[in-house]
Amino acid sequence: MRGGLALAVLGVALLAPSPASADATWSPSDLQTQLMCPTCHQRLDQSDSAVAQRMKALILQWHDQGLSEQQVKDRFVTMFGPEVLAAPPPHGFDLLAWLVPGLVLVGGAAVAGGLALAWARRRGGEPDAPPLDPAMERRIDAELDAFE
Amino acid sequence: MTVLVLLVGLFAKGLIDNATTVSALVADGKHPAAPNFTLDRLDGGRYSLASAEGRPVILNFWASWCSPCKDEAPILALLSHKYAGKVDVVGVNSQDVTSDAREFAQRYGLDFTLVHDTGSVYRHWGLTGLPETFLIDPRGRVVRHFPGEISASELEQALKPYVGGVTS
Repeated sequence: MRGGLALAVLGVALLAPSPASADATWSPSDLQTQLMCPTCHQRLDQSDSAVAQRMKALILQWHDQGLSEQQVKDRFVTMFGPEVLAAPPPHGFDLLAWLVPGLVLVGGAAVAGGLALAWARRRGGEPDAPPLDPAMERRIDAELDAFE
Repeated sequence: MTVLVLLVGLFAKGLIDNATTVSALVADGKHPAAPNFTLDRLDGGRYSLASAEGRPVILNFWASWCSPCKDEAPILALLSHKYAGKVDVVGVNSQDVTSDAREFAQRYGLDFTLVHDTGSVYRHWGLTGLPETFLIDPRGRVVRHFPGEISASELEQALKPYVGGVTS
């Protein structure tokens, strides 16, 4: 009886998908680029501090346990606060970090466009050179012919 | 223009925040009221600094990966026993993996209050590294700041006005 039960348990364990195959479709090295070292404020993949090394080890461990990328990020945010994320979340006050660069770009383009337009108008408004006197034109033609 | 004003405003706010941290104020010779915080305890539940009202508090910021913190841990454990009921010792675990912090506490037998900070208290108190220790008097004012590793004699000396003639 016990042997049968043990076999059944073993069978279930073998047939059931492992946690790692369930949801680990993300790359630990990619995730390292999305997190910051809380002590040296460098990107995790570029940091070798003691806490960064522990975080890298935990990323691998949680990846192998089948946690999703978001679950891993959430765990680190719980430990270190939202500053651990390399990119701020796109909501609340942090939304400014996403909007300000775009606004600066659009504002800069508008200013550059306005200046270019004003410059073009100023150039367009300049009077053409006065027409050449016909006698002078004939003389120039003659001299050019003679030169050739 | 709005964006420029916003950026200048943020920069100014950063400067003001830095100048008004607890450590900056203590460095200026002031004794600011200790800003209250409520954090998760490493052993479960919540802890509020305000609950220590009427007793001096040794507030120590630490992390499990920090080497000087390993040297300080036995000193803090010893003092927490020596002045039990007279002085509260509170360890604020910062910039750390929580499971590592619990393991550290167990290894060094830290049975005083230990809380985990996600960074807000660390910034508000104006820390620049770990470990750092503050002494809060019974009236709730921050009277001393010890950046870096602290010795037992330094702490004992600082505690003297509050504990009188307690001997080991």
